Amino acid sequence: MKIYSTGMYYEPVIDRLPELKPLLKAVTGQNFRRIDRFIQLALIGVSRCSGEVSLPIETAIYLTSGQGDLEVMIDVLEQMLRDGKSPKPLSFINTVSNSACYHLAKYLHLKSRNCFVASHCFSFERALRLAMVDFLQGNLTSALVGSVDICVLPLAQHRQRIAVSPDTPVAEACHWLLLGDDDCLGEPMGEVEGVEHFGSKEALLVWLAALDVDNSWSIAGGHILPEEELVFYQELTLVGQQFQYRKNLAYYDTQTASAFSQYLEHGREGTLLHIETDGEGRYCTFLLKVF
Amino acid sequence: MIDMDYNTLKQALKKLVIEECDKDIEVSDITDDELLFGGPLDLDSLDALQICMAVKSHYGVRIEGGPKARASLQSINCLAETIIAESPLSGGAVTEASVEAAPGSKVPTARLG
Amino acid sequence: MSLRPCVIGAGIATCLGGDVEENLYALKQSPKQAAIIEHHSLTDAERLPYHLLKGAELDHADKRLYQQIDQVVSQALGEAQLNDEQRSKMALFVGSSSHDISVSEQLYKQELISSKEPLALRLSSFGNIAGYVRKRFSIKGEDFSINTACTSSANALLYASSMLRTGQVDYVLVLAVELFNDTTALGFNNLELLTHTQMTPFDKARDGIVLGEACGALVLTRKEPEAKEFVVLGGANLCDTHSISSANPDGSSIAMVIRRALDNAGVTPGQIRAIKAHGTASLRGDEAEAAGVLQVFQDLPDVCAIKPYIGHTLGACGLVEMILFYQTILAGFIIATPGIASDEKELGLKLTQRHESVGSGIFLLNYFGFGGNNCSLVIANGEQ
Repeated sequence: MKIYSTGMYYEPVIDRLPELKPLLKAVTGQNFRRIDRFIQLALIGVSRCSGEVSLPIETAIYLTSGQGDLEVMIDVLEQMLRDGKSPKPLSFINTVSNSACYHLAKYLHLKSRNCFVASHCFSFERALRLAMVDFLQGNLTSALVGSVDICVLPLAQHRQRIAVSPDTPVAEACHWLLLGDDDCLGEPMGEVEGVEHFGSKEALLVWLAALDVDNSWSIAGGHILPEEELVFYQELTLVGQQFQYRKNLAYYDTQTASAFSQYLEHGREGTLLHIETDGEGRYCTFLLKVF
Repeated sequence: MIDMDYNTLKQALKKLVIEECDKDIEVSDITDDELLFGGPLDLDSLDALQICMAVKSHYGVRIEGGPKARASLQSINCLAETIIAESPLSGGAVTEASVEAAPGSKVPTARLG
Repeated sequence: MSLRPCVIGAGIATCLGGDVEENLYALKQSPKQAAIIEHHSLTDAERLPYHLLKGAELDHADKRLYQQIDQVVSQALGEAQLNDEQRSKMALFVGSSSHDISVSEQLYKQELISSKEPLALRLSSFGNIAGYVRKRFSIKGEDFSINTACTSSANALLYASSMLRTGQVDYVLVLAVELFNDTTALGFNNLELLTHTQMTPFDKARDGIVLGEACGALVLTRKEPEAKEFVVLGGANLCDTHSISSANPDGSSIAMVIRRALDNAGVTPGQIRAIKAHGTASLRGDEAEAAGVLQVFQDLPDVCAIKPYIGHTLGACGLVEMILFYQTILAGFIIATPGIASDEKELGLKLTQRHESVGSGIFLLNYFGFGGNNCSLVIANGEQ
């Protein structure tokens, strides 16, 4: 799948959450109401991705997240179970993850396929897979694939929810890719392929051994893949260098999406081989080529 | 009985509408008699539900669906009149207590569970 | 005969019963009114009919959820009879609008009572149900947890079928789950979408939804189908941005997704033997669906609705209604709802009043949801 543009938002969170409304207005030029942080981030990111492009009306949307709209879910549960208040209509509607997809489609004036999908450890890869399947069937010629992760204060509780240590830096982030095979989208900046899933290390090794690596390649591992295991794969495939996109990155579940943003923007041609594991013997890969 | 807090109630209701419907406007931007629906405010049926729920929570007045809701929600004036007429507080009057239950303050409700 | 995504195993639990036979038996009768739910989260003013799973108790949400999942997945895998390797490599699709929120609610309620630092939504991660199923049934393939409100499991089935059609995987397990939780019950109640009586889709007297619980599981593979086996011929999913809570009442967006689904399946409207309507008995929802269907079909085939029997099972309705529908076709009849929408005067279409007999055929299944997500599927059996 060719990549035509990318857009993102990333902001480490120390002790407070920045107000997003002004940024949303600045980026999109519009006022939105009845949307919360999760949807605001999704819109900011997608606007940065698609802003200059005239999107075909049938551009599909695939959205993913590690935890979804935490803010509204926590709000509803606390108000309902702790405070004895019934969920408000608009809050309830926003607890369904594809409310964000609705707002995205409306903002972009799309009439297209639209899906929210997630998967523990491999969310971004799964969203890419669904897009890929639709492309393979000829169901579409353009798609937006994106991820959104928000924080909810207090951060100590947020870290408990996302299962990271109390001193792990955390961030809010949103990443979008515009994929397709359509001349009207402009000049592609890269392409993604090799979005594969392996049920065992043995299966991964077979696939890695068959790769045709050259000296333009880099390798990167996801959050869960141990460093020594990444080194092992690097040596096995003879990839010359690591691309350490997570080096100074505060944590959020869909960090994998940042590999796209960073590699596509790093200014050199090449191929990035990305490997992630769930720590239980399953692996996901993708190959990202920059032209 | 309508007492001099009627205007304070209307101001509180404007604030409620702005807050519940997430409108980026000031209280002074809403006139007492303008149409809340089908007018410049551009509210829809979801906003109506949101407003009704907030009115029930803050003032104890339940606005039933259908023609009655349409009449009560026609304007701030209509909404204020409905609340005054149907407030469960004594004599149907709006008291300090009910007006002070403005958006943002917690009104105790039956605990669930 | 070409290779098609073909159903080889099914499991189901609804208010009608805990397996296919029990459900089929009930579907040969008439819809029954749902019991009024006695749950502490609803005040007296909010006591509502709810189609709970047969024989189930509402407390112990975690035990309930995972027991039901075990039951339906075991049924489906038992019928499919895969070996260990086939099972291990299956792709898993989970479709639900609430996933395991009932468990989160239970946990938080307990913590509010017994913990100094209660934490709402402690189990916030998506993929909890998928993780459970993978470990319990030794599945190491890809997993996808889909949440598109009421079309969740319809989309799950659509994408699972697409993965089979494109040769990405040999076997898929699609799981649909929707169990009672306070958030959903109260949320729908506050949207004033619920009726206090029963669901009567497309009927002049319709006044809203009765919620229902359901779990369903399907195993599919790509094969040359045998005569009685059901295949997924195709489908489509499109987003309607008319309103976040209902489709465009003029029917245009629904007509579009139906046409797209038929094109994808390579069939014409005239080839459709019967339609399984979404039929939520909401004023605007049914209006939109009827308008859309009438735009596509010059001669309307039989139209049936399943929600009067089991309620609106939200994210699970895609898979669960598909299972009930094709099982009744295999049993030789189309589901009927006598007395509901018995004439076309109201919206231009009526629902099947008698159990029309049916052999093989091609069928359209409609599903529409919050967030404007519309999905139509085309299934068939026999020589198609």
